[in-house]
Amino acid sequence: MARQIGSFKINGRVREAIIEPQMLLVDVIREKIGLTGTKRACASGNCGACTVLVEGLPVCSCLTLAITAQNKDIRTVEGLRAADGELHPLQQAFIDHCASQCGFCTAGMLMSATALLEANPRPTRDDVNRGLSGNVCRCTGYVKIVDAVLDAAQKIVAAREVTA
Amino acid sequence: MSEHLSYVGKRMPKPDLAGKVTGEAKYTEDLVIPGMLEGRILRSPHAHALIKSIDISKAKALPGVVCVLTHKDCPEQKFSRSTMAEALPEFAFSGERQDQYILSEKARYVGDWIAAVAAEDIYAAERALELIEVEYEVLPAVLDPFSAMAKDAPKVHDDVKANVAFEMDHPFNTGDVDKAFAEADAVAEFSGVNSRQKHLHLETDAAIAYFEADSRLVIVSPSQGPHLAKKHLTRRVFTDLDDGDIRWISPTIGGGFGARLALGVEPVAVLLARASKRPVRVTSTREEDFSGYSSRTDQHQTIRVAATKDGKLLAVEQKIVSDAGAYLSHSATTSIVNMQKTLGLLRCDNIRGHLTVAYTNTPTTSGFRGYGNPEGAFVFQQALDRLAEKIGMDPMEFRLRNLKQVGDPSCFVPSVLEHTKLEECIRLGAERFGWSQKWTGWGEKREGRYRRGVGMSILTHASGAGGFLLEHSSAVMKVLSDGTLNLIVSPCEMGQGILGALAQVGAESSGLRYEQVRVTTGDTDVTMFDIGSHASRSMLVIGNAVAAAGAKVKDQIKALAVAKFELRQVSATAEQIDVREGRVFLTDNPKIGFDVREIAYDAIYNFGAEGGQIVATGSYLSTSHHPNHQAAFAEVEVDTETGQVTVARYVVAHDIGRAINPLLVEAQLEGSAVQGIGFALTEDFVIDPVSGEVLSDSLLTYRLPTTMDVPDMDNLLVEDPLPAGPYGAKGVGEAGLVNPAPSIANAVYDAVGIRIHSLPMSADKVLWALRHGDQAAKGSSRVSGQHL
Amino acid sequence: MGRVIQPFEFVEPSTIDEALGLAAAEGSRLFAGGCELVLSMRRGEVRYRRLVSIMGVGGLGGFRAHPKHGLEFGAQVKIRQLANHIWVGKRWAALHEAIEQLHPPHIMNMGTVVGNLCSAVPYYDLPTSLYAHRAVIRIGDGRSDRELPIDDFYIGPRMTALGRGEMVTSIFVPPPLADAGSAFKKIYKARRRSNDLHKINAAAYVALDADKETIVDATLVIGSVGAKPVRIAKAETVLRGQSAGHAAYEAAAEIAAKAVEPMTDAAWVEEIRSEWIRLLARDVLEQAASRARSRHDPAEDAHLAF
Repeated sequence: MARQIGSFKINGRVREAIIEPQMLLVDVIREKIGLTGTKRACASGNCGACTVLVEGLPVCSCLTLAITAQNKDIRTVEGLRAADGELHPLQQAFIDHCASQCGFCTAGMLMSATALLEANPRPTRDDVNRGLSGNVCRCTGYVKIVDAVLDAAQKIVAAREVTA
Repeated sequence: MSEHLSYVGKRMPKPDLAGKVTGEAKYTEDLVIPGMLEGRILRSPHAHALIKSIDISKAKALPGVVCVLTHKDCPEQKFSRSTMAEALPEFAFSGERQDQYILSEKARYVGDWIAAVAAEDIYAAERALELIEVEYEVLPAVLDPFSAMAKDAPKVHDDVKANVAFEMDHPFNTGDVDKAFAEADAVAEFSGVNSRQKHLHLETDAAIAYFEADSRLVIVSPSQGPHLAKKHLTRRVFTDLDDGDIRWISPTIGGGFGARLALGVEPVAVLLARASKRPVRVTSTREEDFSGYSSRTDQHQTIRVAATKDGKLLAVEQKIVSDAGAYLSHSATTSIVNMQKTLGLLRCDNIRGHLTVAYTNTPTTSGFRGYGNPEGAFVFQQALDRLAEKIGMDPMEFRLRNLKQVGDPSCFVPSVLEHTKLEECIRLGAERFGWSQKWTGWGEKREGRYRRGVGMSILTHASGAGGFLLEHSSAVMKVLSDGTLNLIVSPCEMGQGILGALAQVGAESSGLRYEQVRVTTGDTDVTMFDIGSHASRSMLVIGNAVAAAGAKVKDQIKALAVAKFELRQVSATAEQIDVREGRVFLTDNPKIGFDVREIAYDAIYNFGAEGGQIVATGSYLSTSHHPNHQAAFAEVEVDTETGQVTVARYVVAHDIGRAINPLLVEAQLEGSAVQGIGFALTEDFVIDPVSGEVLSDSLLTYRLPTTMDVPDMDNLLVEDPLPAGPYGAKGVGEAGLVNPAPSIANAVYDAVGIRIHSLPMSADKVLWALRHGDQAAKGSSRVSGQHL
Repeated sequence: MGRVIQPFEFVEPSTIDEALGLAAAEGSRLFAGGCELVLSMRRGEVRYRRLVSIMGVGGLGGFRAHPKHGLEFGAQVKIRQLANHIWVGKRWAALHEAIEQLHPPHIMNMGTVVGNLCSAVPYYDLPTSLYAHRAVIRIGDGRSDRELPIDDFYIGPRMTALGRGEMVTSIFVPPPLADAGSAFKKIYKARRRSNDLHKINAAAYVALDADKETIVDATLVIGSVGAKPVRIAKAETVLRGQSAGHAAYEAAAEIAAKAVEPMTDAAWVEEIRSEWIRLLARDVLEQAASRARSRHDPAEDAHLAF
């Protein structure tokens, strides 16, 4: 009935999908657009697994109606990699530090961490703890995740200095 | 000859992570089968009710609905969600009562499965659930095991007397316990109950069932043990099918922790797929996972211990009353394992254990990482501290005096302890923690709002359950033409890191490159039989199978290399050749050699020559449980005004044998420690004492540890190779969850002089105990999930 | 209890009149950030046939924070905007603290303050803090506006004083007195009974005289203890004129602990709950007074704000 063609700007590309008003952003991203990296875990805005960036800020895609996210700049874990396929420093650091186990929280963690480092490129351990406090991980105990984010932060800053 | 190791012992990256950080890894719900229907389950709103009638006509008439099923459409045999029946010996098998249908004929808990729907889309499926009209006759419910076993209590299962699902004396009871208690210098007792910790794997329960060519059934689900699940499903549920009629695929799993050892929604998916003749995906919500999926079994325990005044442990007696919930699943076996680990941890000549498991009208409880050990340790390690206090001894010293030594009877099954480094763990941990400075004696009064205290705990855990479970596994290796090692092994990838460790063992033993190992797993048509990823068994059992296969691959390479060397005018026998990191060379002149790729290529693309691809299998049968050990030390701060307990420092030393990959071992220890801290302090599974409804049905009300709850942690490894382990390795997966609760509890006592008798030690209970004293807090409510 | 939300209609009008007209129909409801609404619709607790988004309505996006003139924001203002504003942190510390502790922080980027208030969820934190700041709710019906003190805004569990055809257009938070401070704290707890809530929150506002010794005005609010936040009027009266010290806070906290109605019949649960109410009340009063006493009055820097 209220079926319409929704237009989404995801990871820099415009993607269209047939949506209905009741559809959640997480379901549209996963099932209509086919980017299944974003996970649905609690669907209540309490775990952060479904975190995507909308206009650069982390939101719970499980509590967002897809219809309201149209034409906004959306970023998901699939958009972190550079165009040439090189991993984002955060992704590489997550591998190096074994900061992911089952991996179900990882996409959300990476997106929250991306927003954190974009706002604050040189965070303290405490800042990272705070910045990721809305993302639940059941496997790792968080230590290696925080290590990885701090390591990535250093590498991003160092790379920027080299370019400058 | 000193052992050269290329990969074992190194901090190599885990191979599954590339897919996980990019979002490419595929989990069950990420997969789409063309034509797939959406399946959903209707759950009971009542804790106990007869189903007078079910009218599905309106639901069936809804456009898009393909089929609606109830208990009338289910196989007539009863089964258990636990698949372990197929792998257990006789004495434990009776603990695996087959007691439920896929869809229930009577509602036994809030959340019990009543009907199932498959529809073209999820909206129609959920609308159809609302249109199913069920007429219930609500019955009185029993919500805790004690009232369940009381005289004239309502029966959860009509054929079970007094709701007693299972009862046993510990099979290895020994000595004269009564005499020992009578003659002891000191006796102490502690009673307590753990909470129903939820596994809280972030991926909710889901399964896909479909038919491939020739109508063969394919199941895709996050199972920790698909081979056993398949056998169980065909033997107990769909008895018209046999082992070969199902192909079970476990893709990447979003966390298991023991939950995926029991069947989830798979039987419903199969039922719907068979009825609709279409692929069906059954999904569930987080709320449904809370109420309808398994949790840790709440085990009410009383443990008595006795000692001489110089600290020799004379007797241990343990009584357990476990709450199975509505169906038995793993709750009996997990309680048996509790007895084995608790009564078998220390040297003691007189032990006695008794277990009763009762049905209640609450969600089914089951096995959770640690499998009975955390439940027992919370009570036992506090009983030991009470005893140490009575004889005025440092609790560490008391434990040290009673450790089992090599040659003593082992804890798990009648066998001999072949290897233990528990003493070294205690000493190493104590040194790092600063126990001798921080422990200031019994009964010291502390002042002020915030009070600090220290406590410790030790454990023994299995590395597999040889002698108790069906512990044999195999591995297959194929070498591809570019020198890639295709390693085919059974453990499912649920984050534990085992595939990385096995890849390291595979590369090490075969001499091929770690970077070129491709691990294949998760498909029962491809992998060898194996009872699944649990009991900290995979490293030891499958690791040995991989090492055996690797040795064969290396031998084949060496044999083929003789001819290759000849072509280069080098004469060498196979014994004079070695293979490492993908290079074949002469042992006494390593500069002479070549890339293994040359051999691998020729073995396949060898027109006219003899032989074929380098392929090997390796198998291993474990006959012992090869215990791993751990000591932990905790320092806490108690806010005496709010009751809040904060863990300031947590030091663990683990007897790992040898760490194949220290990074992965640390990851296991850190992760399980934080789960243990949640178990100890915040994770509270609460059932409404009147309605039986699960009140903690979201992550808002069931509080998991976050980044803000992680203490300053040290994870130390005591490495002394286990002769039977692959490169000396033992298991590590579960142990880390055992020690946090008891060591924190002992530290709370040290800080403020009170003991909490139920987990979690949440602020409300601590504050209540601080105001009313320890004794008053003792078991005034016995309702499962409800404390004090 | 669904995995998805059943279908509904979604409309995005551009004027208040139009929005209120659409929302007046049976089964319709206004929609802003949607956090609470989407959750409770997905959980099957509420169902609507039509959601009327106000995010495209003109005139609801205003935001102004001035240390002397007060804080004012429209119905479209996201929580993030308040979180980022330095004067909110300085002058409306209780509100700022409640925002900073939102879990998960994502909610700041999704939800509006007005939406948070209008959800009337008993355990939410922002209403408690806005009680402490004595916020004024501005309600419009498309033609005229009326103002309501926040104390009168909630009339029951998940029920507000909004009439049919009315909406909250903006909120005004008056500026604190020169020597005033505020604070917010909460404590999480387990639900032990079905009508229990899983946390308790508290907020206070304390204004001191010029010598910063005597309390001249105070607000004390306890939240997540019933259908709506509870103002402890008796404690506020007792505090006025008292010397700003521990004895005064303890006495006020004692009143607060007794003033809050029990939620369950479980004696031990109630005992701990009232103890925590006492502690929270004491601590927010002390923290608020401490902030009031801090030597540097940020309002003196008001000229720097613009």
